[in-house]
Amino acid sequence: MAAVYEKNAVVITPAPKLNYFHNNVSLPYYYGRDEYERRPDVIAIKQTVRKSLEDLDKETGWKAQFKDKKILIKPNLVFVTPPGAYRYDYGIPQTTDPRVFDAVMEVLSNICSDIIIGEGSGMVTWSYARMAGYDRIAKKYGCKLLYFEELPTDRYFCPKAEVGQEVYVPKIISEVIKGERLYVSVPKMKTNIYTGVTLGFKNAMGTFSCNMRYRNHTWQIDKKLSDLLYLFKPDLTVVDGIIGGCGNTPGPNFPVRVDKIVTGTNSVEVDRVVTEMMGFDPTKNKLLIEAGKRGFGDPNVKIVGKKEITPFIPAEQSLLTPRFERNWPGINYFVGHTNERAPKLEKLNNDHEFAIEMEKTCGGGCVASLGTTFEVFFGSSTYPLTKKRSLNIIVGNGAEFEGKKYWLDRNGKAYSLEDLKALPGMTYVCGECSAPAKDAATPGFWIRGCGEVNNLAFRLILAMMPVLPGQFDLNNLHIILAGFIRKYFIKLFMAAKGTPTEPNFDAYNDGLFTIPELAARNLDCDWVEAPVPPLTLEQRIEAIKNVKFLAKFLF
Amino acid sequence: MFYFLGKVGCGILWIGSAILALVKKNPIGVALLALMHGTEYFLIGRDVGKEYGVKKIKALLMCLAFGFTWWLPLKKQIAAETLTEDDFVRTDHDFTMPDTGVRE
Repeated sequence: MAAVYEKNAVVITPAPKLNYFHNNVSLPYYYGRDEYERRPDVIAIKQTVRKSLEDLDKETGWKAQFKDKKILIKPNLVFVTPPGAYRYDYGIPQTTDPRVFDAVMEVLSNICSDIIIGEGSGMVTWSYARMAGYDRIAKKYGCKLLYFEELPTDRYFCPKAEVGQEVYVPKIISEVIKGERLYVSVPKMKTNIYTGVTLGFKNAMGTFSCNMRYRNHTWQIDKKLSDLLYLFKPDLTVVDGIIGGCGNTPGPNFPVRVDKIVTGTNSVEVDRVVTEMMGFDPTKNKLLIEAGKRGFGDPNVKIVGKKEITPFIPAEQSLLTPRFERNWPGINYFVGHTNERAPKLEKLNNDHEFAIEMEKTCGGGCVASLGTTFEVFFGSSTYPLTKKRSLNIIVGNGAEFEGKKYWLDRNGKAYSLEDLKALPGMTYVCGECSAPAKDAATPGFWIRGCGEVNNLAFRLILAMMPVLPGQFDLNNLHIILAGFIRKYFIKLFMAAKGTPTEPNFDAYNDGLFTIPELAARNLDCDWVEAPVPPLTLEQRIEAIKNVKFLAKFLF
Repeated sequence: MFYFLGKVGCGILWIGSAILALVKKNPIGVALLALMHGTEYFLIGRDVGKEYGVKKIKALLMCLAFGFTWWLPLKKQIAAETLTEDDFVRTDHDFTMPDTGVRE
């Protein structure tokens, strides 16, 4: 049975003002020894986490709900980049600080009976867990560490969902869904280029396998993530706000010293409070609006502690910003859409604001993925030498005007397909809907798929050569390679066994994956179990063929 | 990058020396590498491994295989992560925001 609270609370606990930058990304080599426990930052973090959870218990009684229960605890592991992997001299604050996670584990291990740490970073979680030291945390507390992308999946239908009606999740999540295991989310306080912020319930994105992530990874991403709350929601949320991350995460982000731990029993309310603390208006954040609309918030939540605001640099889900133009003066960007959300093109010479309006009609997908990748380039040590690298980028199916399709440049001037074909240099056409402009693409640079983030990024890296991404930490390259090899063979084995770890890639557009007609009694349910029948021999062969070493488009 | 390339170089040297020893029956390369890396193990690698928490057998094997490209990064990490109370005092200089690019 999932935790049921009579009243919800959000507790904001300030941490002592120390320098927390040492080992904010990966644990020191002496983790687990006395010298680790004696470090002032470790002592301060542990005290803060303990206090916050104690205060939360006084308000909500969460400990009684967790007593002797089985739990799944999920950090937010993205890329693990130590100082120097980019041209910045700090560890990139994208991943939940392992010191904070260790402190949460210390509290929970005294209350709960069976703890499993689970995460799916989207790439090679096994490697990132090792680089950050999460494997050592699991060893210390004697618990399992599961990598979601390597687990067989279960399927569910969510009749009330607007976008995510068919969902595949790793089998261990089924225990959470069915109330056999409680779920603790330990996210990092940070911005996100796709959703504005990424906190307590958005952390569940990491439970999806790659192909499931790509589905509706478009302008519908906020709805998709909010729909997931019908399936499962955190029973406890602990936000790591010791060092926050701002800017275009999951690109290399910039640190913000917040010195706070925020805990709560309703993750939507925790996220609302933290969003405000980051200097953003939660009533304008689409993700929180969607979650609120579905009734997952709690207007009666009690907020304990001072909601001090520490301004975060927002993520910019656009290539039309002054910052992008200044950083990348050689990039010519053209965008045009014809859909129910796009403004109607009524003349060929428009202004910059009109181009922005046009671009906004499809965020959350390819444009945000491009923005992330450019942030990776910006962080690269080669950036100062390569900032003027030129490339034409075309996005969208074109805005219609007098029966012809047009794409707008940053000043709002419209270009026809013929104009785009005549552009000098390489042209990168991005996104499934951009098929009408594919003839303008340099061969091999029309990138299909809507939210296939890795594909878009890798092709952009190829298109931008010799600009190099800076995140590859060569000291840990062997761990990353080992992770890819491990994942590849596990996925092959699972496919051969007939229990694939993910559905086939099918996100070639932003259409909905509807569910078959359900019995009337099921329509009012939040979720319905929809077991996938064992694969036939042909399906197994197909599943084996679909297992790729790096990414779908490569090998 | 340097240490990564160094490890790759060591691997190539070992493979080359092994081929030399097996095909040309000339063990000089293998002997030199083993002597050099073995000495490194007893002089430095063993202590670094112990401090870092690496098992003796692993430290020996890694040191024999990669020599200083194995133990030097560990030694540097040990130095970087050996911190005093002063390192945790909040100052204006413990972090400098890089150029984040202009935003309006």
